[in-house]
Amino acid sequence: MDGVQDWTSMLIAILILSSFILNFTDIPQKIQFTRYSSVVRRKLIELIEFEEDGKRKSIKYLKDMNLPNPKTLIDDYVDNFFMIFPVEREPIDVIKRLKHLLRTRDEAVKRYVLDKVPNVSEVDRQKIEVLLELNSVLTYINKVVKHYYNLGVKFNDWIMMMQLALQINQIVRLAKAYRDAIDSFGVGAPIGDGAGALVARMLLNDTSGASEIAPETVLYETSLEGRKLYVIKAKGPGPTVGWPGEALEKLVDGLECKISRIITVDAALKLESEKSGDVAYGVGAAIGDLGPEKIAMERIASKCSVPLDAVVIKMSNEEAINTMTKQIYEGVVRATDIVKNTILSKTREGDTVIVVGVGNTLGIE
Amino acid sequence: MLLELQLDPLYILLIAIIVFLSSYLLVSYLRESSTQKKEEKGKIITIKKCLSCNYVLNKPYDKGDYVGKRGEKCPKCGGEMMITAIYLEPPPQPQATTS
Repeated sequence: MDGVQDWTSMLIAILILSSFILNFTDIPQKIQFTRYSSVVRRKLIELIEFEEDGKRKSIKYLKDMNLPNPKTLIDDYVDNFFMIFPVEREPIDVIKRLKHLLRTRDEAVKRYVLDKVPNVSEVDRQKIEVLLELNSVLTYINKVVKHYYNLGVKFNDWIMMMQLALQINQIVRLAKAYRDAIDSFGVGAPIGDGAGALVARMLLNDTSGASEIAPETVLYETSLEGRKLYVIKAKGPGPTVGWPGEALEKLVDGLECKISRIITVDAALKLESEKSGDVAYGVGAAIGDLGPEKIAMERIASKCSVPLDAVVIKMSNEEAINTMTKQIYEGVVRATDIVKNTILSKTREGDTVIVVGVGNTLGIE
Repeated sequence: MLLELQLDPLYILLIAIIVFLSSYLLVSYLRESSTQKKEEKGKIITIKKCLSCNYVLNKPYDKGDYVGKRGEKCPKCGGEMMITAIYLEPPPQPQATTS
């Protein structure tokens, strides 16, 4: 009995001691810090592998395009060509300023590629630009994660390390999607984000007679059961999104507002509970740009009092930047039917309708 | 002799802690290794349609294919074919077994 009593007293002593350690010292936090930092360290190695793998693949694709020095081309790009966002505290003409900066950056990237590779075709130039951008994103993700990891280690900030450890799986998933996207863009098949452009393409029987209404954006004229149809999409089959807002503005101004309906179609990010390829419709401008193109659509529709419809095809972030899956393609077919039904049910014969297929038109003429 | 062995509460506690920790480590290891299975990507399919007789042809994607590309002759009527779709077909799912 005495032996058992001794053990019981020792157990109580241990419990009291451990309760003291747990409540009144930083030891548990130190242990958690060590655990979380080891998780982040392991994932950082994965992120570095993604970055290097991405660079290796890009070099391979660029070599296939007969580029003389692909490694230098990538290395000189990744840390440069950032864009400082305009001042938002003074909102007057912020969209105009943002549009100007976006155009300036776009032009600078185009000039950089053309300077390095003067005799490249338009499609290859767009491909090179996208590959450079993807490498830039992978490098940036790595840098941000390393920044917070180093800060956490430097200041023993276990809360920062815990937040990073809890978010790191999502960050790795995103980085993996960007790494895989290098293959998708290198291969040249349509990507998920091209869903809107593919809907626009499916409304056309013939692509002859297209005119470039805005930079890298084309306009087609066709008809559907007595309705005149104007279709706007980015100029394919290179990987570009064009300037659909500017194109719509120009077209509607040119038609002096004599239109019955504007329908915008785009890919949209799905919630985790939604299925890829689900199609939904509503009102508004279906476009996910930083602002200038979307506001151009909204402004011209409200100026002319024209109903603005939106049709979206749902997909995840990863699906949007990788080769279009069958599920999303089936969504595109359904979205095309919805667009046709909307035109037939909400307009009359002789009316004019504009359909804007928004998204990256890689692999879609 | 073995039957006479009496376990003290501390031993029981230690054994319980060891069992709990080893099962926790085993479960986390199994969970991690099951999520790291090699992903199969599937293959990219090009769908071509004859503009004269609507004959549809599925074939593996070739570099340079794009939606709207024309030129190939229809094997059925000799008319012009056009690529109408390109998408990634998912890899075949393993058949579910019923017992």
